[in-house]
Amino acid sequence: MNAPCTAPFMTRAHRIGVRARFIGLTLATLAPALAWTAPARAQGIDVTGSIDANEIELGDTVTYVLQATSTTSEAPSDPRLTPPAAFTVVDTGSSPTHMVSIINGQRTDKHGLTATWRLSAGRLGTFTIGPGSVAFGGSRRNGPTARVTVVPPGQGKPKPRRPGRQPFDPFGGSPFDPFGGGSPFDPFKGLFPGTDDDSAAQDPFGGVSADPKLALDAPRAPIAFLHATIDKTRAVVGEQVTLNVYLYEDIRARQGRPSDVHEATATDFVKRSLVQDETRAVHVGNAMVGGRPWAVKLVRKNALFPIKTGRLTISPMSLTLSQARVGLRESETLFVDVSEPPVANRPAGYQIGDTGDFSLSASTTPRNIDQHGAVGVTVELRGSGNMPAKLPTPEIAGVEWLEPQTRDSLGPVSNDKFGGTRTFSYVVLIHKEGAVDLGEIRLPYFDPQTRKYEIARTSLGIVQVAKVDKPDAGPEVAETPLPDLPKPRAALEGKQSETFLTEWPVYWGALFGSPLACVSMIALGGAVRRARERRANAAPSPERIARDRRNEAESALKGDDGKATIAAIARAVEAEILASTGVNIRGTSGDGAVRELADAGVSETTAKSAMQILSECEGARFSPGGVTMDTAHSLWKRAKEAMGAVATHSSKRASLQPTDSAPPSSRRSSE
Amino acid sequence: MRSRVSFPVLLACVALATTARADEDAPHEEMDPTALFLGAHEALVADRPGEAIAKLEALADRGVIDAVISFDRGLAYAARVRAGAEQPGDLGRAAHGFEETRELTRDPSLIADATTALASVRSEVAHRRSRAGESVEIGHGFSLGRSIVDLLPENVWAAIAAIMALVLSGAILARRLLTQPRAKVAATTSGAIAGALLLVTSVLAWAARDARLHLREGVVIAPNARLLDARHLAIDGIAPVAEGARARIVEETGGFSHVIVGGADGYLPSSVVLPLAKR
Repeated sequence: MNAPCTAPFMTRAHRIGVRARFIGLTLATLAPALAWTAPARAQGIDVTGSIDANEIELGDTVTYVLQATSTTSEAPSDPRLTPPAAFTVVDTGSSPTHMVSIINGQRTDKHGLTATWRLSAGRLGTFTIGPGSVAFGGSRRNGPTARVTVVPPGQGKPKPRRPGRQPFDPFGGSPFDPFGGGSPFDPFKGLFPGTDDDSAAQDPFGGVSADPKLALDAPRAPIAFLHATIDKTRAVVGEQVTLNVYLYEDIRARQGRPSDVHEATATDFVKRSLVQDETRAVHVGNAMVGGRPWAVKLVRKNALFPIKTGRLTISPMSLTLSQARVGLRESETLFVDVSEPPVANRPAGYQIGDTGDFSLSASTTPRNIDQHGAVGVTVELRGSGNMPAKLPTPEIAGVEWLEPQTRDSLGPVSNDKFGGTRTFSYVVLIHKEGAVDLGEIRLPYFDPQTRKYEIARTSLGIVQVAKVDKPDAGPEVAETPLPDLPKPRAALEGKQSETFLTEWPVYWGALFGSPLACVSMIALGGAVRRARERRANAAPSPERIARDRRNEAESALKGDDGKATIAAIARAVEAEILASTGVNIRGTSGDGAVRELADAGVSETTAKSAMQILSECEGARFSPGGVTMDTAHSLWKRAKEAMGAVATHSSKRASLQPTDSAPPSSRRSSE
Repeated sequence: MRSRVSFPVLLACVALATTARADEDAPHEEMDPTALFLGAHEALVADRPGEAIAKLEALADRGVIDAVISFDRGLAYAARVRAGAEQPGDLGRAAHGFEETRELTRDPSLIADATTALASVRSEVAHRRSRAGESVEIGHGFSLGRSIVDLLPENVWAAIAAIMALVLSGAILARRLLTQPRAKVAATTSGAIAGALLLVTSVLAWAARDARLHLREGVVIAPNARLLDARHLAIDGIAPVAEGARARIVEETGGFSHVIVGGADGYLPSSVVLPLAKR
């Protein structure tokens, strides 16, 4: 809607007033009224102006259009507008025009200039916009002013939808654009409001309700930001993952034109667009983000088909806002965990990645040919999902399939799926005769909806091939490769459980342990033997000697050799005395021995008794009459009493003298 | 007239019943590996190598390992080449099947058949390479050490080592216990020989065990694959690797396999090197 100018173009009014003062007051009073409706006209230039709304809501925009048309050869230029303080310029544009018309051989030139300012209201109230001006003929010519009222959000009247392009709206396209809608190659077209027809038709404050599905907790960036979503985070190889990239715009801020747009890269996916025209952003609704309304546009919608397993990355899409201080905007980095379809029940011939919902149909023409001739087989693959690039053709001896030609009619289908039709056109050479069954084409695939394997199949039918005896220029008879291959086996070998000696825990130990054990055993035996020898060679203790001697004496008492028994008794007594007192009395005189024994703690009586026994033993040994065993037994009895007394005295002495408890050293009498 | 009408109807019924039976068989094949193998064998005998390949590869996908499956798979790929329906890599995959057969089986006749078929496949590869003016060297053989290790099975090496350990132990004991000088000399001599043999055979048994557990080998299934360096750029001065060549796989990272082929060290795309299954 073009509102009329609220003020006339005064240049024409003054001229009329100066030249027609003598005309009555009536005419003078009519002049402003005439100027209201007439365009400003001065020296061959008309300057008009208009706004697209008289009343807008706070934060909304109003467009002021200034059009200057010259009928001379001079063109208007340099349009200017000083906006009110409450308004900020969101966007500007100007487009000069030049028209030449020749009528009856007379040439007429017309120059035009259309300038547009889109202003955003930042304060409530009624404001005057303009006048805008253009440079013409060495001076500036003003256009009209316009008044606009800014009301609070929600109280304004909705803007009427423009049925078509505004005649002077530069964002609606140039009047000289033969295709309309601006350049079709503009990559930023539609990204921001007011920059194309669709967005201009949308009014984010026009009572549109917020879509809760688009709501976010907080904005990812001020003014505008990108937000990417995927419909699933787990998929199998070849399963479609739908990627949506939205542009959220703060409807209270000016965004400007974005630049440096980088697409979201997904190198581990096959990427297909699900929108017909990716250069246009589609307004999908409004959303509450952080408690404020934002306009949401869908800028990308892609079907992604993972080509391998693992945690695959979808890199962010980015663009730069020239109006913002930090203008780079990026969507999120997304991840998809991709696995293989289940192995269970996987049909033979299934190729990883053939995922979707497919059907096959085929036609074969002609059905009757000569030998070595060709038929055409057209196979049509329909469905949605990751369309295979080639089909498994049946391999039959004498039938040669040439590389197919492929035609695609693919794109978005229902429910945001990617699919359509892929047609394979084969030329099939048949070298054998008779009724040749071409078999069937079968395509096993995994249906992600049902999580089951399915098989799409189509029969190719039978071709009647007439025998040709001598083909004029038959195919070259090539040498058959791989002759004399062995016959296939029909029986499985079965699982052969095999045990390995080297895996036995004891093997390596036994391998090197057995020789080492032998060596160790021998070494140990030698060591034991040497220890025994050392022990045997070492001097026995006096106690041991005394015990041995006592045993010898008792053994001798069992015999009948009196002298030997007496000698054994004497040795036993001497050994006992040595063991008990440390006094070696052998070879010592009787008195000296008694004295030493007394010094050693033995009572004199006991010492004398012991010495008496020894003396008797010595006497008996050298007695010419020999010694009876009775005598020996009697002596032994007395000897044992004496030895017991000596031992008792010795132990008493040891207990009375604990500090001197060390066994007395073997002391030999000096005598 | 009645009989004329009923005969085609009967035929149609039989055909439908056959089709239905075939449909019933299909899931059975999908569930039972043995049935799948028999179906593959039947397709191979009936000169339908494509179907046989699909079924045998499906068996491999399910983790079914058998020397006969590998052998028939090699034959199926070879049959597809012979039928003129060759697809790139068929010769390499055929060689892979036969190599795997030799790795898996203990049946001498199957080893002989696989060796014959492998020679046929490699001669075809060599034939094609010679026509293209390339080197016909395909089988590079093993290193001396690997060849010695492969002379006997691992268990035989292990058993010999165990026997040598026993002999050495007996010799040590005999040398200690016997008193006759000649017997001592005999024990010393036999002990020395047994000790040396114990050392050698235990090393060979250990090497055979290590190869069984850690050595990974594969077969190159792409025609004329070029070895790449660590930056995955083609190495100059090294002839392309022949299809069907056996390669040692050192490691796999980032879609590339570090391989050693005929003494040359480099990288190949992992999809080009098909690993060999082991017993």
